[in-house]
Amino acid sequence: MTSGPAAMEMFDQIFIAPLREFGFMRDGLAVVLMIGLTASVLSCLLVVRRQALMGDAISHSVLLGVAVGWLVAREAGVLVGAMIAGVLSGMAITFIERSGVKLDSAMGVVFTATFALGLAIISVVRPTGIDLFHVLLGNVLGVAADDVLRTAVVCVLVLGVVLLLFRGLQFWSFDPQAAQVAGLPTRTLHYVFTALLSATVVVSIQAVGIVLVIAMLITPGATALLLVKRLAPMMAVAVVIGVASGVGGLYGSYYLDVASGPAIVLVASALFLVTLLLAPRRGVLWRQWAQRRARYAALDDDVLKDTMLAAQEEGLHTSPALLASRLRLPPKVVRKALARLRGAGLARSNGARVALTEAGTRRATELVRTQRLLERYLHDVEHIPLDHIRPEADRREHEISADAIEVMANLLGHPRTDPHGHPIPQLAEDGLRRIAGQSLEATLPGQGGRVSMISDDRSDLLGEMVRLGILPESNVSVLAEGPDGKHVRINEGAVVTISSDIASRVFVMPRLRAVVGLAPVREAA
Amino acid sequence: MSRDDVGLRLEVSGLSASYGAARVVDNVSFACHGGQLVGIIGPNGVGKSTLVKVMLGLVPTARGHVSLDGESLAHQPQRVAYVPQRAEIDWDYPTTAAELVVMGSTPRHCTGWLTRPVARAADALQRVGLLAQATLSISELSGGQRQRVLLARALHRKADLIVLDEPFAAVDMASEAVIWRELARLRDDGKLLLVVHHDIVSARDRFDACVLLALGSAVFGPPAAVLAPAAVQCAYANAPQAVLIA
Repeated sequence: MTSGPAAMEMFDQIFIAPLREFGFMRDGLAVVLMIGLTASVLSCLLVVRRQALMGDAISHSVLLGVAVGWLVAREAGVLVGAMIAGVLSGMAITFIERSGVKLDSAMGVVFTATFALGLAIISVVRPTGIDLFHVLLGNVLGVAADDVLRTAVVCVLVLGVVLLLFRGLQFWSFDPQAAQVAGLPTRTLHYVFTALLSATVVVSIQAVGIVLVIAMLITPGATALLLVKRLAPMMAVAVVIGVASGVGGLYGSYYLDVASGPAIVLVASALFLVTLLLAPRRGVLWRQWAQRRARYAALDDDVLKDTMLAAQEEGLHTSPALLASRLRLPPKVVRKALARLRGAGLARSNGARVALTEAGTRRATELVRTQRLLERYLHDVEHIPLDHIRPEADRREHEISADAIEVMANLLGHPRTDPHGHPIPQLAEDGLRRIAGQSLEATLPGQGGRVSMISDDRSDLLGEMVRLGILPESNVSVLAEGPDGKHVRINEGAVVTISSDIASRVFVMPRLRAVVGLAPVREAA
Repeated sequence: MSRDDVGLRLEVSGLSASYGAARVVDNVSFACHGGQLVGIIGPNGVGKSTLVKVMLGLVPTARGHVSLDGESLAHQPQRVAYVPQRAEIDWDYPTTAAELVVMGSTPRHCTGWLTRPVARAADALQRVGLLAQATLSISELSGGQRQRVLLARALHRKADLIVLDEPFAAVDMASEAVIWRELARLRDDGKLLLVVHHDIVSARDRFDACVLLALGSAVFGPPAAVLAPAAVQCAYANAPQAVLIA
């Protein structure tokens, strides 16, 4: 790290000294600052109108204006010719489009035709005093005092018109039809815009050249659109990007002897690329990072929730291995999630046993409440079948807000259980009640009772239970036990045979309290 | 308030327009007044949207004219609001719901700055139930919300004549109810509403008058008469896409 005064001196050496020393650097800096400002403001309007190529069309046709202007009046005619060519080509594009040709085709035809004609004329007459290389690629270090003045005039003109007519330009660029119906002079706005664009292109040629001026009319606006969501701030951000590109390119051109057009455009493109990767919300890397975080958050939530359910509802000894097998996740993934939970002060673990801290229990209770209320809501209000609820709830539970959950709880009348019969923690309670009842697997022939809960960990078995009519609140009696499973009468009706896979997932409150097991033991898989 | 004494009268007489060689609007005439909800009905591709665009000057007129209270409509744009089809809007445009609404009140000379768009748009957004979404980017709105925010822009404009192109196309039921409610309110306030609409069944109950378009020509009258099964069958029989009518 350099110290303050040393950094100051370095800055002075790199950026200020060339300005002190050379007039062309001062003029060049003035020009790139003004062009950065002007072109960036217009680039926003081009980008939101999806007419980025319009700038390309106008800039290429300007070469024809340069050639014809030189033929008519030598050096004096060049700028006027360029200006007229820009406006005329804008009008030609509008005219061709109105006659039914697609806009992009119209622009493509116009700009290549005029560019070709311009090149043809220049290649025949070989005008003296016009360096084709500079016209095409820019030469910001060769600007004259006239150029600075001209650029200043255009800059003031463009900024003045855009500031004055901002509301009109905004409405016109967003919804030209409604703007026209509202009485806005949309046709005039269109021509004013085209004229401003032509003027900007003509003065920009000195700095970036015909071929690359399009970059200054697209890239700043496109970059800004990644960062903001309204037109006015978009223009402000675009100006910062345009000016930074201009200044960066100027020094790049000075130190590396690169043509100024490519230098400026490369800086602008680099800024665009960085923004594309990193922009909040829209940037590619930002989105990946956010997705990763969301995935981790969802995973951590699941581990937290299951730790509490296993310990409190089912009275199991919670080890990382048990959690991994219950959640069907690789042990490594669970251990990493537990490490994150420990880091956040939500869990404690000594390797073999996992316990939740007070904060962890509170958070887990909230999560369980959210999930089960959501399942109840999906079942009762959206009428989603019992065996389809779990995936739907898993999908939505990480997105739903706490407020929405309380609205749901009110709407449902603060239910005590989810549709599978699991208890829903109430806000006033601490922790969870244990599930009452014994598993149907442990129920002997001759016994029976009311189904208090069915496990929802396997949707295929859940579907089978729904089909058989084994639902919370139904009555079941075990009649006999065969090699293929238990013979069970359901709701005093049909007798069905139930495999032990299912029987171990159904919990029953015994009618006769012959067997009392308030803490059902589920196989610790 | 009796609907006949509202001093608002729209007259369309002998209106025609062409796209290339095809005459898409052919000699359409009708007249309606404030306090009416008027449906423009017809099969797909018959030129319903084109008719309103010709009326509003968005498509050049070949013959005929449109007048509001005896004066050419083209001379009184401040009295008109237009809600284009949702699909014609670029919903990726960088603007918020509130800003979109206040854009509708842009003056004809285009000058002035928009300050505090949320406060200005609050009334209109409240009416269509989108106050909570005021600062959302329009790209984040659902289809129905987008249609409602366009309606809010028309409400904010406080126009006398409001023209809506297919405001119910692919809109959720809640939004549909809100839009019908607001249209009825505008009508009760004495405004004149022209609605391009594709659903004949709801048209029979909802509109005070209907323009039935068939191959460029139009029939105008109360929905019971204009949308009588025989008339509708005739209109749809030659249509590019026949529609089965209940």
